[in-house]
Amino acid sequence: MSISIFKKFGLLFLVLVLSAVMVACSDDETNSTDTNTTTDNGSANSETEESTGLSGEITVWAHPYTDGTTGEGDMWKTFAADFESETGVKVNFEQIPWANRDQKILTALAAGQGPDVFYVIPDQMPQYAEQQLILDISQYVTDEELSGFVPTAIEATSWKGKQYGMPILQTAESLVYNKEILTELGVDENSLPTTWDEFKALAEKAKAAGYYAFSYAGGGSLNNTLYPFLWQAGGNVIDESNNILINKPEAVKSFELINEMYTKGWIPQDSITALDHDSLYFGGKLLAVNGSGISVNRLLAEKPFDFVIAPPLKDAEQLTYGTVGMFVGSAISKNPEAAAEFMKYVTNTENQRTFNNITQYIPTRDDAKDIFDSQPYMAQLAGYTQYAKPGIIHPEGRNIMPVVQAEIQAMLEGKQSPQEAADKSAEAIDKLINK
Amino acid sequence: MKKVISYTALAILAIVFIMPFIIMVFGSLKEVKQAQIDPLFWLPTNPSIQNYITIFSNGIFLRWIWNSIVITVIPVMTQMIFAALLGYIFAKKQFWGKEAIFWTFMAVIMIPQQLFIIPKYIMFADFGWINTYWALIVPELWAIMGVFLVRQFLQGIPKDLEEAAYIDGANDWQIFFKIILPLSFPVVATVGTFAFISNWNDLFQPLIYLTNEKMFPVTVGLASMLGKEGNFGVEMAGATISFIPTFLIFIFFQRYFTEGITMSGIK
Amino acid sequence: MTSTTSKQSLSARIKRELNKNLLVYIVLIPVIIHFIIFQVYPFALSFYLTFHDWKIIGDPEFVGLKHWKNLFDDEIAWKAIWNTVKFSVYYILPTMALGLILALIINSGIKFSGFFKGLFFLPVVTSFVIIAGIWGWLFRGTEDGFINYLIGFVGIDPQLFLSSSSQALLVLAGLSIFKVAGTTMIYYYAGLQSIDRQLYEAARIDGANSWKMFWSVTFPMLKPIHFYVAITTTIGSFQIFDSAFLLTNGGPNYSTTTIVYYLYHQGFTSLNLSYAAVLSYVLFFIILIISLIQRKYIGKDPNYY
Repeated sequence: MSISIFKKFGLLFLVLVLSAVMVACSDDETNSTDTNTTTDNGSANSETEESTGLSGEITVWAHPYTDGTTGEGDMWKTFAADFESETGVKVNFEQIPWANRDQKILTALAAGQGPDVFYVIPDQMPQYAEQQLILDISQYVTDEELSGFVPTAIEATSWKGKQYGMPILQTAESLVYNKEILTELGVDENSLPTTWDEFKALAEKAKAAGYYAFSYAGGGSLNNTLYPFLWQAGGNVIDESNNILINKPEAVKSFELINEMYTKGWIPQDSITALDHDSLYFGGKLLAVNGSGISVNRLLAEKPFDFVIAPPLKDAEQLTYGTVGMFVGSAISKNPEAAAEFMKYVTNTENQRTFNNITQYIPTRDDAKDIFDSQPYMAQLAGYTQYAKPGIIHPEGRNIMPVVQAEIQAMLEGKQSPQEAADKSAEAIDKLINK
Repeated sequence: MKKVISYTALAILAIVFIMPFIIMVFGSLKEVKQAQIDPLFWLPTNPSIQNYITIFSNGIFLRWIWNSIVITVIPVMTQMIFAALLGYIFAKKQFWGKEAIFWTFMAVIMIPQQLFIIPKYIMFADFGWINTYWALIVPELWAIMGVFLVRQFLQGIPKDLEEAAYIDGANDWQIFFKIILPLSFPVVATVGTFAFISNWNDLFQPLIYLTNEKMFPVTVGLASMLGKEGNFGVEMAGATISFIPTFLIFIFFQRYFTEGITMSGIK
Repeated sequence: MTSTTSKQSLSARIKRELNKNLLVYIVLIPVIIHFIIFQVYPFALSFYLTFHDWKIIGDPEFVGLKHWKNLFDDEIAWKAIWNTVKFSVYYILPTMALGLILALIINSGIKFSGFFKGLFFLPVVTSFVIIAGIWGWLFRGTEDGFINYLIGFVGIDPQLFLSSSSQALLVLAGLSIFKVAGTTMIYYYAGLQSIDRQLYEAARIDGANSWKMFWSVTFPMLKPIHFYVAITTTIGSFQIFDSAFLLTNGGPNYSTTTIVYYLYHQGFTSLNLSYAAVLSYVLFFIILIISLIQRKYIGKDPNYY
């Protein structure tokens, strides 16, 4: 275990300090550095017996998926209690704030502690898998058990042919229009744009009427900015054999589109670093955003205006971004079987219904999607998950983002052309993967 | 004319400084999850205390307040004591390696603390301190910045004062308690104020070392109530609640600031 | 640095030293032990791990100077260091100056000085997340941003602020100044309170006006406070992280990527902990050197040395 090295260092450090102190204090006494200190007992406690069959306990970390008003806390209590009565495994459930969650999990794992089961998104999964932080659960889960999940969710939870996560939720982003602005522009809500060209024509119209057409949070994740356009244009960032695709002609088209949207004023001037345009949108100054279930529910709750949801745009392909939230097991879990069993348990049809009903995410099993039978908007978004890609599934995925983001920012500031931005992005990615 | 200009400038300055506070308080009375674009959106047209009810009806909010008090008050008291003692030692005493020791203390805080978290976590895990108050209290028992401040002030106090006391036969303890402590109390009060503010508002360390919600201080507890997209009204109400004790401490201690270290009287 | 170098016996020397400095030892020894455990140990361990591949799980592997060498080819790291230096130029002196001005205002005998003191202190106690949010809202780069709206009245075109690589760092510095000025005000205020009134009397007799009195009495007498405030704001400015984290994510085009922002990202997003440790040591050396320079020029107190 890695901990032993820290202990060894600690011991060495202690000896050094003690001897330094002794040297400093005693000029004429003999140095009696007592080095036969107790042997390192750090390895002893890591060798806990591994039981066959399920028993013991596991710790599960999840995050507040809601603001707590819809019974999320009770849901976890019920899950834990039911799982214990079914399997005899005690579940310690801990609700961890979203803030700095990466650091919290990594720090705990580095100390040989932390949860047995925790929550990640596809941006993190391949990186954590490559670093051997998370458990390969292929041996605990059968193909038959996986067959109930929608294919995009399985794609987003596996890496190099191994299953790492059990998907609990997904989202699909699609265009959510402000109906009042559409009416003002004289646009029929049944003939909304389906292609880039149609969208550009509408954007020009909105601009002429004094509105922004679209939101672009250029300081946030590329999943919500470049990538959907990149995929729609038929491009990609990088493939599985590390070929860089981001400066191929079809990919450059998405850089050009973003540049056009900015220079023509279709997206707000602060798009270069904006983290969201929610207040412009909620304030009725922005025609459309790429929204998920959360934004739809917020619109329904606060009713700033009527809205209409349209399918994702298509250029070469009809695609959009949608995340997949999954539970993964810790690679240092002392009870991996129970951890895997809990991951399967919490993502089964019945529990997905409960979970996604409370949190208003989309289930990752088709047979659980019936929870939205009475919610037309959510049902509509749930229908778009077939178009949703969960980001760039690559161990360097999260490192690629800031370098590409910087090149787009330089492009929007007018310092380079879309082609140059794409080329420099490719160069930077090349440097990352050949490090 | 000159007066008009300076009062106008003061008024503008005052508005700038009070604005975040006003937005925080008014925002806490609004039942919205989303800040709106209208610059006046936070005016309390429909004031409601629902956000406060949401927070207090959480069940363990009072426990969070108690946790915050424990992990704040103990370090604040000891930091004040150590600031006075060490400030005196480093300003007035002569001993081998004094400057080296002081500047080593100072140097180590110059490294960003973000990375120290991992070695510290490993150490605390060994001590069994994860999910306990210890991890947040023991490392904070004294702080060099407070020592530095007291040292700076005491260096300005003329030597003749303590020398006179030495001649009268007083020892270090008597000098410290009879002369230095009363003299430096205003500065020590400043140290206490800032220690209180920084410990009370610390989100980062408790976030890393605590996982059990019963141990959370207010900062982490409030963060754990926020969904992924946040909730403007609840955030503002939470900030207002956390603001109150820190501002009260400021009001309480600020009486002492005004006294300053009045060296004039002792010459 | 006076140490007795006589040829007395050791025990006699110890005894005399204890007599003289018992208080020092009683207080300092536990403090040093505490310091070694909670500060020096993580400090030294991080340094040790800069020569290894420090993994989250798994044994560190010795790699020599690999991570230190990476620093030299890493343009972003150098940019981050340069940004941090620029930030400190924008931040340190203005914070000191504003704090001093506020302290002079509340010390000038204006009415309601207690009220103003509390007022100027408000940003210090208000949560940083809120102040940053409000700042971002004020300096929004769209035409309807509040500051853009105001400067529109005097005929200035809307500015991009946080979305401009030439302005973003300035806006972040403004935020930090606003948040911290109340703290420096308190230090200066305490300093002003402790200036001997007789010095002013003497200067007045010499016929000095208030401007001259400020430069000949107040300003020099605040030297210990200048030193304290200079050191603390320097450390604070080189460790700037939150505002970039909350408002710009280091952009546009790395213009607000400060060194701590960058090392946080390297450590906890790229999982490159050893390299993050290298960066934190680079930062450490920079701050240390600047502090030593400050100590040399403003840290000497004639009363004491």
